[in-house]
Amino acid sequence: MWNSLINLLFDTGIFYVDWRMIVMWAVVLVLMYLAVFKEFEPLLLVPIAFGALLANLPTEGVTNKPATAIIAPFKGEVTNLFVKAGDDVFVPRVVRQIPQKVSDMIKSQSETAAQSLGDVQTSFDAIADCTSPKAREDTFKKAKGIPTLVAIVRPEHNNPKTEKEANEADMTFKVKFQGKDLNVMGKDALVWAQSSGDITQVFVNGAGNVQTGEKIVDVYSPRSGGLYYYLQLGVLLEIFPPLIFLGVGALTDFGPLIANPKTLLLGGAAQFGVFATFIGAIMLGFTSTEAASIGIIGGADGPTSIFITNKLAPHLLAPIAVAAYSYMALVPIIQPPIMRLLTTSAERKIRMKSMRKVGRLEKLVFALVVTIFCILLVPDVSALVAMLMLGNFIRECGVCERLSKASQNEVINITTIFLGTSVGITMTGDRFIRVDTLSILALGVVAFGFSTAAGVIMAKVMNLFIKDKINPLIGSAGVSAVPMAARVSQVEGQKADPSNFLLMHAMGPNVAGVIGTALVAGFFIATLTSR
Amino acid sequence: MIICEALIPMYPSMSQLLAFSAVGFLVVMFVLLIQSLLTAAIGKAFVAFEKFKNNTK
Repeated sequence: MWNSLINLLFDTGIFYVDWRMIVMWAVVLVLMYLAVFKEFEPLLLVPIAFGALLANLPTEGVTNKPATAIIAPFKGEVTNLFVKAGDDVFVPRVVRQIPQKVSDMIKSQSETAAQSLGDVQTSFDAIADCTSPKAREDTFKKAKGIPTLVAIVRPEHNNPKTEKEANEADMTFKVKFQGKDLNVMGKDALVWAQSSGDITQVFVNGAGNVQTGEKIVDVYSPRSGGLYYYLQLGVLLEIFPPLIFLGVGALTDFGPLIANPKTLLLGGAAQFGVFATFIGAIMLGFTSTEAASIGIIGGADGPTSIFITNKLAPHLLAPIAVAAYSYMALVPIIQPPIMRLLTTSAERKIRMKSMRKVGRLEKLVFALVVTIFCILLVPDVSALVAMLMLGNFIRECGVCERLSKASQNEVINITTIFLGTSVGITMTGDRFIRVDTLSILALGVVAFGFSTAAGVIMAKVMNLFIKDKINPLIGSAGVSAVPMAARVSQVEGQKADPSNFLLMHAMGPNVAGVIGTALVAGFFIATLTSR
Repeated sequence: MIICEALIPMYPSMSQLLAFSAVGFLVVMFVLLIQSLLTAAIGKAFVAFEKFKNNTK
């Protein structure tokens, strides 16, 4: 009886909780407080926060991958294979941050070759200790979150990012692992089990050359993948961002933009923040593709951020998506101080000329013109532009009411739940509480600030040349957080003059920002990738 | 996706970086300017057509 109770206790998830998870619970509470009690974009923040909570619990069956073949991460040579047909591989309930290559095992403060060798040997000892058949019966060892090490693959080419990485990649180590002597190099990749199951077939005998994506072993398990393994495919396969754009298009009235097309320039100016942050990120040591993905946070456009990051820097998807969505939700906090700082009281009181009414046919022509024009110029983002304009065309044509309502409600709502939780569920403590991630979050705020400032300044510059003055407060709406940024312009405008209504005027730069961010994304994809 | 033949290297120099960013920003502004002029022209055509319709009534 007593033993059964003890066994039951050890079988719970309690022992998998570590300090990072607890820190993340605090982050979740802050996000939920902002969403529920401060009402900062609750439609986004609630799913993100709840997903983040799930990410920091031992949620077996929620995110686990289905048993499938384990493949080579790149072209190279399988130098060591640690499993054979008939063996079983194991993945614990919670997988911690595990080294992806041998050089990841070297602690940053290690300076001498002997210290580095010591770090590598210690890591291999820990892997052996936590993944032996005996360790699987020990809850504390399983809780260290190390799956079975399947193989070591030596890449044909290595692409070090820094001089230090280049040195570490070429270092060789003689280590002992599972009773064998291994000769490993810093650049060697560690291939881990991705799901618990049985090895049914081994495709590599001894040391063998493999191509990128070539099967090393096949794993079978009767258990399927977790719910969010499948839902996250909507993010990874870039299905959710265009669907969100469909809904945004169906919800947005492009009339203010069409009536006052010069506000398109405000949406363009706000993209300055994207490029400023791109420069800042590169100076901080990110690659150009990573920097482009980080910079786009300044556009305050979650779907576009996901879209471009998937293409340019998929390994940064989690922090970038979280930053983009969190800052979109925090528009009412981030923007007002910058807007007030850059404008005088008299400027904030400027009343804009009322706009002409735009007819249905003109809106339909606009949707078609933007579709053709933007896709011809930046075909890389045609999925986003096409869905945005399709949604708008459905809304404005007047004969697809059911489709319009579905896009405005069911499609965007369901996608938002799945997208929000899929983003949140990537916020695991060990992945999130890192210098890289925190610097991305910091750069995101900088991007956002620059974009807001550039929009306001552009409006002031335009006022030097045009007859009908623009209230500079609507310039900040050039970031594409629709319609939050426009609402902020309205609120700030009314603080200066309670009888001044800026909302519809701000919608012009706001939707222009959506188009502008998509154009920047297209520019980055076209220029930073090969065909 | 193989990221190798790009307009700027993975680790560009400061001058490459500034030139690339300036070109990018100007390209986006230029595209939006053209889009703005196009939209304004279409708008003017619609307004003129409305006026014409009202005058002939």
